[in-house]
Amino acid sequence: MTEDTIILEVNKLTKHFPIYRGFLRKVVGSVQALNDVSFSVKKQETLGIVGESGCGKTTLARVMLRAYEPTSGEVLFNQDGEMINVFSLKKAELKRLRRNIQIIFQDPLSSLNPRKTVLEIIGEPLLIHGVAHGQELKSRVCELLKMVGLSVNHLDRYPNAFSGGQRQRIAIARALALQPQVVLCDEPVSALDVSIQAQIINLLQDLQKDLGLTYLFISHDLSVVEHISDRVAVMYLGSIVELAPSSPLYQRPRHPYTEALLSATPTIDPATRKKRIILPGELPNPSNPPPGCKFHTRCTYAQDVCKTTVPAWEEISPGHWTACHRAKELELRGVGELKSSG
Amino acid sequence: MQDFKGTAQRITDLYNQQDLSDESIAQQMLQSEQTAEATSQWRLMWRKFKRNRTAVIGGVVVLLFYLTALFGDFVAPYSLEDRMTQYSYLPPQKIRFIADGRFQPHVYGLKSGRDPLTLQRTYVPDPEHKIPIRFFVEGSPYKLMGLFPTNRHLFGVEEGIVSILGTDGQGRDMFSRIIKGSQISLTVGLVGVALSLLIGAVLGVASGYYGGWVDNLVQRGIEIVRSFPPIPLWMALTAALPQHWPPLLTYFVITVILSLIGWTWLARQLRGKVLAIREEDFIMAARLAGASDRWIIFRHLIPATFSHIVVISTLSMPSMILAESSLSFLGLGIRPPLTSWGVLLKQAQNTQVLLLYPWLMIPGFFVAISILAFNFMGDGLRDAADPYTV
Amino acid sequence: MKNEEKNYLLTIKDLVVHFHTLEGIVRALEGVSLHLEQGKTLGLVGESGCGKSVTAHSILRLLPPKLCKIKGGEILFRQRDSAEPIDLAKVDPQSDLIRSIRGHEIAMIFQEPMTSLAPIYTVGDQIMEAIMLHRQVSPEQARESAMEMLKAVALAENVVDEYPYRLSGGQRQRAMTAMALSCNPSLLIADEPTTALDVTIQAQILELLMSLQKEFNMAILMITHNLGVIAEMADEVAVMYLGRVVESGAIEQVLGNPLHPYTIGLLKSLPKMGDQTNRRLAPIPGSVPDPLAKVEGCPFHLRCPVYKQKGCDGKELPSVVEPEPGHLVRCVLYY
Repeated sequence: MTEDTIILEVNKLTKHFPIYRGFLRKVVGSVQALNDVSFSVKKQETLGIVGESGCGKTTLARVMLRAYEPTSGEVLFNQDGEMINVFSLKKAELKRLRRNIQIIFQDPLSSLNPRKTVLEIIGEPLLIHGVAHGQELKSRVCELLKMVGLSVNHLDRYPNAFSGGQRQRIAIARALALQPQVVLCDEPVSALDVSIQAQIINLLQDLQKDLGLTYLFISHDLSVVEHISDRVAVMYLGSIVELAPSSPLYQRPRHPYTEALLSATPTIDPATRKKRIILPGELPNPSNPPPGCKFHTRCTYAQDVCKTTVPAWEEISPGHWTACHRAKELELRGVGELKSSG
Repeated sequence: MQDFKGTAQRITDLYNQQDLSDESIAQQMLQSEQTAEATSQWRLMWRKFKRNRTAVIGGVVVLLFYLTALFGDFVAPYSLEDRMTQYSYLPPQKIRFIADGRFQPHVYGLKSGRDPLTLQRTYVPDPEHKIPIRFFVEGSPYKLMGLFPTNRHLFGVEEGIVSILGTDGQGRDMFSRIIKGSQISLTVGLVGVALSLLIGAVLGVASGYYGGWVDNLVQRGIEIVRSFPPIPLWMALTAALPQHWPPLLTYFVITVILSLIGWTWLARQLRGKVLAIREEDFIMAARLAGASDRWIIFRHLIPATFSHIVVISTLSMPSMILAESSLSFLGLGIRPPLTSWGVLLKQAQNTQVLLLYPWLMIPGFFVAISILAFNFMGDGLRDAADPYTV
Repeated sequence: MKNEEKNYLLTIKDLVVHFHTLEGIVRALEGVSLHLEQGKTLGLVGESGCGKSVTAHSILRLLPPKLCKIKGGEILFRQRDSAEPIDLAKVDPQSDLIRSIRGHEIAMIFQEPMTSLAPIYTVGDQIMEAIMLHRQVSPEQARESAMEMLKAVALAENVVDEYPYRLSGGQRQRAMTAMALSCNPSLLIADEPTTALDVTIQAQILELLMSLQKEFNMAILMITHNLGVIAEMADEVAVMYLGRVVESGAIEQVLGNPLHPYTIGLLKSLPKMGDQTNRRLAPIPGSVPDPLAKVEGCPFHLRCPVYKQKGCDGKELPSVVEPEPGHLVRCVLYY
């Protein structure tokens, strides 16, 4: 299903938020939200990005869309066969790019203006770009509503008249209004109930098939990410620690953090209560990350080298990248093994 | 007894077979959901406001005051300068409703005399002399709302005097003067708030949206303006007004002076709102759809703060009214021949006058009522505009 | 749900709770029956608006008394030193009796520990307050037990003098748990205790709760929307929908062999980890009806695929049947 054309490439993306203190706003430090993040996304694939809160996954999405300027690094987008750097674009060019990359937010309550009708909300991007007006705008919005499974009778309603799932459908319709090629989904189902979550996941998958979309799917929920993604990147403290096609990643993880995440996720299979790997301690402070491998403070396999040297980002088997000193020697347990050991 | 497992399996199969095309999901959702009726922000706000009884009462009083001010010349039986010198310092008259067994509002005629000791003028009502109060009577001519010349008044008498709130030393009807005064007192606030809004909204929204040095500059500016004690500042400013300016011009300049300080509070409030709204995802969504700053400010921020602007304006009316009254009371504000509540109160500066003619204090009562009404209404609006209260 | 009164610690019978809002009546609970044995864990699971939190708050009588009325039913709780259970549904929510039970015999932990801990007191002060409220001890002794409790929840002793904002989410949930357990309650109500936490921290807290349960021999009423958490923690589970328990039983029965169409739908909606078949999810259509709308008959029929295929008429409220011992389901298909 996926072509091998690269549509989006992120190179050594770094974002540090300065911490100001005092009257003169002196910079006293920085929160290292993203550190040297690199990956590429193929056309029409879904790249899942998974990690716990504070790992930088939301910052990643927003920096990629240039909501914040990066500290360093580049994001290249394949616009008609030409790789253009998002960060070197001028205002008008950036506006043109925005038609191609859109975003869906986590909380549909906050992402829809409560004072606007559905027509105004979904039609806004079309108006901004001068794509459609008046009657044409209305018919475009109706098409979009049908596409996301909402009734066209809903045009004049305000967001407060909708349930959470329906609101998220409206947000999806807005994101698709400009016919983008890439959609960044920032925890699009995390605020929804289980049954609604499944509806939205199915909808996203159908839309991808019908419209040939490329997704960057950000979530903290490992099972959702596995279900929807072709490849998955695991983030910890502002860096990607492992990146692989989803099946190998879940069956045979190569980074201890991935193993711990898989192990910690509760599963509904009541017959096999797993033996959990309980990670000790908490996420370190991102303004003062530990030296060496950032995960070494909580890693059960850590050795001396992990405390001093940053591990290299290596391709350990075709398409399977990880950053761990002991990746080759460790026999980590994936989902299957975790179950059988229970 | 393994039957139930078969049933469960059938249900599972039904789930798997479901037609889950988007069309059918939409259909199902329409069936299974009772979506709330389409309600706009304003409708919701109105619904909440209606439930707050004190706020509604406040609103009705405010409305009544403004209607009276608008049709002031019609409601007032006398004009501003109608002097009935034979009736100076007349206490409020009692209105009687029943005459000769039927409904006929009337006042008693008056016999005036002098107190032999104090030489004060005294009035004795004469029960034999009933002066009927007529409605839509002819009186001194005026232009209704400044447009239609007429001489009809809501009520009046054909002989003698009707003065429900008494008269002042020159025999001018207090009721008529209070109504005429409200035209100034209540509009000084309106114009003042409108001007404050203009300055405050622009600076507040800009300060909140852009942040950084813009914010810093505006906020420090506000602090400087606010650090002046207001009354001496107003006094200095009004004292600088040339005495020969026509009263109408003075009136406008005074509204400008009042709003010079009023805007700071408004700007602060709006900045806070904008700071909160700026962080909402829908602003981010608009930005990432390619919207310009102008688009975001005019399509999202200002409409989103509009209900707050209404609330803040209502709540800043009382201070405007008070400020005008204080200035005029001190003789620095509105000057005769224009009249405002503050000007009327100026007559009551003297304790001697107060003791002998307490009805001259009545304009103060109107000031208090209007301020309370505005505050009740504003509080109700504020609660109604807050999306987090039910 | 059955009449034989075992020595259940907590028995809820046909509890009906209505909220009188300005927009109308919200029928939060429409006859909920549950029971919980000493030392066991009962999971209460369902989507938002199903009434699981209302059930928990009713037990402690924490619902706003003006807004909400217990219309019927019993909440029988067996106190520590008495043979006869008392009916908490009939107790005055302001009475000394309920106050002596709250925190002392029944404790509760919440989803967001930041708002449940007072920001201006140290963690130690708050635990000491809880202890001194229910036990006659000196401040020194209370501080001593507070430190012990902190140790029991694997927090460092110096946390006793920390303010809540200095702690991370996981640490705050631990501190909250320490406070809840400081009076050795026989029942702990955990209302979405790990929902705000990351999976690795969630795993820590779940592990902690399980070990504390053994140590203190307390019963846990675990309220969550996360079926995985229930599967790992609970002995028994009750699935709620629209103010009613639609299915209940031992965890293996309900999750391994679900009977009610709603339970089946919930499980089908959930992506399974490690399932490489990448099957399409089969969600429950539609969404939970408006809370103000009164659904007649079977609460689930509007979203039920069986009803859609004319497999039942949905008009009547089904009664509870027991297809296998201990496994109860409220659905006409199992008559």
